[in-house]
Amino acid sequence: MENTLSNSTDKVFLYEVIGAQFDTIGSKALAVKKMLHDYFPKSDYLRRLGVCVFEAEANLAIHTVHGGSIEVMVFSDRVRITAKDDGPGMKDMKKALTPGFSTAPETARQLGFGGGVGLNNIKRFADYFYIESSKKGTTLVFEVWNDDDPTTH
Amino acid sequence: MKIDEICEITNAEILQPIGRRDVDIRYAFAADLMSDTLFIIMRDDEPLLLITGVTNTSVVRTAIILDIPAIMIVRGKQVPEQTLELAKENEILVLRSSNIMFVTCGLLYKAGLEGSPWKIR
Repeated sequence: MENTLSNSTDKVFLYEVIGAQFDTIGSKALAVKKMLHDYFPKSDYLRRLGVCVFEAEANLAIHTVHGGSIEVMVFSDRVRITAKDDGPGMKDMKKALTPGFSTAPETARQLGFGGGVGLNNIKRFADYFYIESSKKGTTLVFEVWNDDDPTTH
Repeated sequence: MKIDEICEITNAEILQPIGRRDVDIRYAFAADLMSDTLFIIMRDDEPLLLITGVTNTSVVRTAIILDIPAIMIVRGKQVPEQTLELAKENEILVLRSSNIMFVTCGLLYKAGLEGSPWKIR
């Protein structure tokens, strides 16, 4: 898929996610969804985007040592999300992208997370998906495109 | 199906009543894994009931992300105050049934509630 942006933007928002803190998972996704409502009022689009950010946030909270950041870039026709952390990274990318495979701790599973479907949910709903990972950290970039008229609900 | 009818059928109580009390629920989805719940994103815009045994605040955040107006907690589980508080702030109704999830789903399905439509995008 071509990775080009059709419009420039100066609307960039940054959210910090704390590592190994499971009870606040989803709070940044909610903040992002509420913030974007002014730009994209269509509920279907916001749900799709919200789910992707939710999953990215859960991964940062569950699988990193120091947490990470979620950068939100708003364009007129899309939103680009970049989630970054400083490790420990994914040992096996292929397995990490396999539905059902998870290295999440039991404490995260008890809270309803760590089922091994997060990255796949993002891949499924995003229109552009890129991920790279090493011991130094993981960078996940995805875009959700607003195909429809943003003024309609 | 109205909230009061859902409560009557499942012998449920309303733990958090602030929200869309007059909503007419058409679909339901049951899961204890929030990522599985996030799977139903492509549903129609018909109001949906989320049936779950998860009681922490993440279940409320999941409902908000998906525009779900009501959550049914099963197995009579104790719901933390902060979960109810977050639900109240965001006007998400929280119901609680002492039935297990299977029975709760069965009763509602028998009464006419449909499973949430979903598809792989």
